[in-house]
Amino acid sequence: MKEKKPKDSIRVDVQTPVGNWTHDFEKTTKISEVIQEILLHFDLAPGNYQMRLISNGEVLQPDRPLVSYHIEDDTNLELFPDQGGGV
Amino acid sequence: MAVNPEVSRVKVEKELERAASYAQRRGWQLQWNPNALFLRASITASDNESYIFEFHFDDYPEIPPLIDVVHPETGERNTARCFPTGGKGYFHSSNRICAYWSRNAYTDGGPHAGNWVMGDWISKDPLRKELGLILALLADLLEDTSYKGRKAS
Repeated sequence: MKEKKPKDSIRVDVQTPVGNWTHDFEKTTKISEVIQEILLHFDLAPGNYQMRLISNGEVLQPDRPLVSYHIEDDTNLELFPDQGGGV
Repeated sequence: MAVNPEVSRVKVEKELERAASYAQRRGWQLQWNPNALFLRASITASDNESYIFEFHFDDYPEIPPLIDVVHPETGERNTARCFPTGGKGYFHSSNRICAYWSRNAYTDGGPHAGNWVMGDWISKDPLRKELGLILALLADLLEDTSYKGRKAS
């Protein structure tokens, strides 16, 4: 049974190459802050990461809050690091 | 210093477990041989071509995995026919993966033989510090707009 979700929060399901995580974020949380929480959760190195909606591939802008994308509960998001390049 | 094979095995299996759900969603075919510390990963590109990456994890994670690229039909290894185009510099002209997380980049004939130190690989590219992240990058490169099929037919 799912925990009761706090009011004014959105429950997102984040998928990454190192695991999945379901977490409640306040609706006004910026994408950049969501990314930082994910990095902490999975012990990922700091760096340039992006997040996108799995449903349509839209890359989310880091300075915008979750609520600005009309994201609903249980929306699937994907975290991916910058690709860099061969050296 | 050599890494106990059991340590390498446990590390790889933990990383495989972490990557499992993502791998399934993206359709990767992963075959793990724990006794040989060997992983065969088949990833499908945007044009439905299959690319086979064979990982050898001896002395992992102290040194990066050795990654061979294998042709799915002929079985040849590390030739132009095995490699995709594009790749943002990772799919080097020497037919090796040119990256801190690829042991072949450091060894004789590799693009950085003599000027990189294997033991530094994670600190040099921490965004690819474990297997799931490496596989995700390879898969993304095969779906990138720069990908236009195999290097040679």
